Amino acid sequence: MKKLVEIKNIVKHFPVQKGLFKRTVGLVKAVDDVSFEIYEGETLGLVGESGCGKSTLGKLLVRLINPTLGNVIFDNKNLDSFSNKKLREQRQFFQMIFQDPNSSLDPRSTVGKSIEEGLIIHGIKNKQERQKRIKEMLNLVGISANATERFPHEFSGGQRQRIGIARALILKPKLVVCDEPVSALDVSVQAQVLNLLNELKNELSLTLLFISHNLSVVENISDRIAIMYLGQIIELLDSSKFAVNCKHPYSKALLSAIPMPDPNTRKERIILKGDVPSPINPPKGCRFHTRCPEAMSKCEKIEPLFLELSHDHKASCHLLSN
Amino acid sequence: MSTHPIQLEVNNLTTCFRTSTGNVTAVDDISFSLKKGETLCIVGESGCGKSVSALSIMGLLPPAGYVKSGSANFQNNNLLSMSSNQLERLRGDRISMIFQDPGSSLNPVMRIGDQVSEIFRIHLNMSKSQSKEKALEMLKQVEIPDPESRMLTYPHELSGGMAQRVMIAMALACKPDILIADEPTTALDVTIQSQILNLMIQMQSITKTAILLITHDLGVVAEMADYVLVMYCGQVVEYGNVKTVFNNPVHPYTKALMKSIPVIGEKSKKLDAIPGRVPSLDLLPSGCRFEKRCTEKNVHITSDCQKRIPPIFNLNNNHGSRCWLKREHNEKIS
Repeated sequence: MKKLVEIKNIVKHFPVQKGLFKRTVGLVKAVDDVSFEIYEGETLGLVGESGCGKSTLGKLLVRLINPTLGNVIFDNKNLDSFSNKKLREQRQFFQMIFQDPNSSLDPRSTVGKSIEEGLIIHGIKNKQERQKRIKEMLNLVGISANATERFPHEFSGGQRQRIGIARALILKPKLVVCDEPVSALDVSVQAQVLNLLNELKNELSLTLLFISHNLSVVENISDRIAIMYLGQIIELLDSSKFAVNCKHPYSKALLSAIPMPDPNTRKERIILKGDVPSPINPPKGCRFHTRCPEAMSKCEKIEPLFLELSHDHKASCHLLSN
Repeated sequence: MSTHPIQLEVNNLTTCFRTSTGNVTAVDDISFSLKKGETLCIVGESGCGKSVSALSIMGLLPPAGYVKSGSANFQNNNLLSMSSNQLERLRGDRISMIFQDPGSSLNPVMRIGDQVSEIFRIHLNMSKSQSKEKALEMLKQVEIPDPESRMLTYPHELSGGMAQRVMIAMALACKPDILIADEPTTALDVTIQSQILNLMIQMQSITKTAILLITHDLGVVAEMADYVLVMYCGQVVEYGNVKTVFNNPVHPYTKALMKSIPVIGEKSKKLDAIPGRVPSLDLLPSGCRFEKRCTEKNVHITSDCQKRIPPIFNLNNNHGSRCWLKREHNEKIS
């Protein structure tokens, strides 16, 4: 399969500033040395707890923020070498869908205008052509065409998310980064939006990076799953194998922490102790060792490598490297 | 069924809100009973009235809300007709509550130790030093690491999971008869959620508190509940023992809800989304409130679904469903 995106040793540090002169007193290591690929036509799921850096990684991918170190290679083009103008031309190929459809749509602009903006910026000059494409797109996401004249507040949460999807897809992107697109929605509506994303992906041959804290949702929609902990990807594998074959202790704990909607099998859970450590001072050695039920003395000192266990299955844990 | 004594009996509770466009019924005629040492879960989507029913019982409705009818009997007293002074004495002592967002339900300008020990001073008339000691003991019980130094910190210094532990310590300080938990783990990460749920189960086994747990997460229901109420648009649409409801759901909404959630390890499962959306509470249909989205209505009878609100038909085993399809079980109970 062809690689659409290649991320090489990407790092993003945010300075922690203090005092009158905004002295930098520390660094939040939001994303710390992450490398992976996204293949054309796949859905890659990115899972982790709050503060693990998954959204930052998504933003780095679509260049809403610039990386501290490392490269993003999109469609064989190294985006770091691009000027702002050239980057803007590229932006139509990678779009983003946000979590909260209430705050990601401009409340004072009609739905039509919001969707049209991208087309204007990317040089579709003919107004009729623009209107035609907007109507087609709204039809595709299941919103009636007269919605163009209405404002976001007139729609329900699920419908607003559909509008957000329409806006992201109007430029016919190759890659769509979905940052928690269903987390703000009720369960019955969540399934509608997930099914819609899947249909659109097949119909428009999109590649998706699907970011969520909800492992069940990610497993359902993704082809591969990447698990993130404290700024690093700690396991990456085929999603159909995840539930039976995840190897990293953190992945196993995450899996066991999910309450199953089945009262007949109340399982023994692996309960992790304590909270996620601060990304300002991540633990030395393996970052998970402070909470890991299987930690060894080696884990405190040496950082494990992100190694290939089998075809398309990578994990970073000392238990697995021998 | 178990023979535990009933702690709380809610009968035909109806709660309305005054809005600029008229009165809206948020909770419509719900009844349930809560037994000692058991957990009852109310599950439903946002706006279905699950939180409002809890707030009504606690007398904590916002100014626009009022209880139109019904009763909530606790130890032979109707909570809904109590004065605010009487309620004040019960709340935090015999009945306590934990909320979704622990960060905003703690007092931000008061040290953790003072907040927890305050409960012992107010409800049990303890001295300052005695209450401090008890507070420390409570924090130890909810497994807060290094409780001595935590006593001196402020809520913003705690993580979400720690703050929720403090809330639980406060709620269970006086060994209440009833604990109402409104989405206690929704704001937390899954690994922290499993810690908190585990803690609630542990504490319940010690104090034998009856828990009323409000959630939208069917997974949490399956893990925690003995008994379930499914709510839709202000009404109870199905109730029963947790195993009965999950193994043999009867109401089309309950069935549809279970088919619409992704389950880990069942990747091949296609999600059956429920078409349409929840009707607005001020524009409710005159018949069954789920009729428009129901996929089973065409199978048998249709005109009734559109015209008349179905009553709850009692099936067997304390299992009921508000659906005309169950008309043959004609034991009407509500």
